[in-house]
Amino acid sequence: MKQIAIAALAARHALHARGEALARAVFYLAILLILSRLWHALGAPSSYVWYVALTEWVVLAMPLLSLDIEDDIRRGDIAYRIARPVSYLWTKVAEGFGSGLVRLFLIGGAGGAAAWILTGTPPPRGVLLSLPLATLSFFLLVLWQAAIGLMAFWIGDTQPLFWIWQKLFFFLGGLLFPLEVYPEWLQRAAQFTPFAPLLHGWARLAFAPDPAVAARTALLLLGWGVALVAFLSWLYRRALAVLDVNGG
Amino acid sequence: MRYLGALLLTNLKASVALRGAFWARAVFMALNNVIMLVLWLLFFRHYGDVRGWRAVDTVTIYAVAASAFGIAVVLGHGVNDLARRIHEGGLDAFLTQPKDVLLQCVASKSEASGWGDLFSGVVLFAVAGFLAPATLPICLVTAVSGAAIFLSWNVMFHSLAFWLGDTTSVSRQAWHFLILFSLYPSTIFGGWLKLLLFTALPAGFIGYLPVDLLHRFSWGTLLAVLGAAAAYVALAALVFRLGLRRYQSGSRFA
Repeated sequence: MKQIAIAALAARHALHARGEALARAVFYLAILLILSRLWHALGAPSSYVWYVALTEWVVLAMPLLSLDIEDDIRRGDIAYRIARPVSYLWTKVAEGFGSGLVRLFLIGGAGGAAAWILTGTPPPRGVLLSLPLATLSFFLLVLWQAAIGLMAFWIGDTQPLFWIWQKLFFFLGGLLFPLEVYPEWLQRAAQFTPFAPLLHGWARLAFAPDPAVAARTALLLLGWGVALVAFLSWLYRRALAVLDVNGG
Repeated sequence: MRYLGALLLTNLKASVALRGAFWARAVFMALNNVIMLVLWLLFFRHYGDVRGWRAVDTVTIYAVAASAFGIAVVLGHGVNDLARRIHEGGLDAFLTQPKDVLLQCVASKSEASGWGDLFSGVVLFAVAGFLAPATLPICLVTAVSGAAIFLSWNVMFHSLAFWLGDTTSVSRQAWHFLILFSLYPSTIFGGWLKLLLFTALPAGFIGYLPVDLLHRFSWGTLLAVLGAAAAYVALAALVFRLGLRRYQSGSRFA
């Protein structure tokens, strides 16, 4: 498939963009330092720091695909990009996923070492179980970003939409604090949103490795993934119709 | 001052001209802050306090930081282009004007989302109970001094472009660092980390000291907040001035 070759090429590019990976890694370490101090002040077990190390890892490796797509639409570059014999949308998704995977690898090592040093404990066994789910979740995040980027066809500036999506994702996904910190009604409500499985679903395995929880989360992620792919395809078709009418 | 006022008014008109985008950015930024604050309120509902730091302290720190950040980006969003302008020789247009180069460059752009920050900051000051006649001047002082530190910090990092080339991404990172460290309970930091937050990374003067000032007013703390803001402004102006001597024109008028 062409998209695999495109993802591989984007991954090679990302390997050379060491400055960007370094900047993200430094920010990741700062967040880990702060949150480890917070959990330490509360006397929480080290698994809380490992939880945050996992959630922040995926978030900080995320490509800014929505901005990239918005730029293409604003500048009109999309008009000649869609003329290529490969889908613009899935090319962008493949690029985002390829470059993001490299960043996951690069900053993951730094974060893992930092969490180990900060907690003084090795990664809990559940962390290993959560790694494949983290990668799947990362792919879904790339799809979300592509969907937000495509909204530029209708709203022009997607930044405000991105802020709200990002904060809902942080909040209902349990980025900074596990969902167990929330009142029970909110924990239950969060499970009905696409955000909870994206982070908390698999990062909670840091507290206790449970294959049943891992399997349930994998199914949920796959279900949301299928829904997102269908939504993206529909959105892209509508966007192309807008482009046909209004021009690039 | 009249020149600065006119410049700001022009920028404001420019950002309000795109009415839809202006309101979307301002409203969604305010909502953005509300979501993050609710997250913290739920945290404090669960844990009570963090070594004596309570929910009201976090509301106050968000009020100060959001107002300061809002003022900084509404009045001085041009600072974000400073490193690129220096690197590409883009200061030429400002050098030909009979006004201060740094001031012109910093005030050359305004960010609409800053109004959302400013609005949420004012609301949060009210929620924390500080919009009373006795504490209103302190709210103003902390917001303005915080904005001055935010901008000075950014000017210093962007001015490194005079020596190091385009430092835009490093400056953006430094800006994010300052925001990040300004919003967490100060009681979790101790020793060298606390020292760092009152020296190299002035987050302590944006969040922690102002919160302390609002809760327990003292002339000493007020002087420390104002002194830190003045010192950072002076340092930023000095770094920019030293760098400007090395500036090479982009030959845009040749």
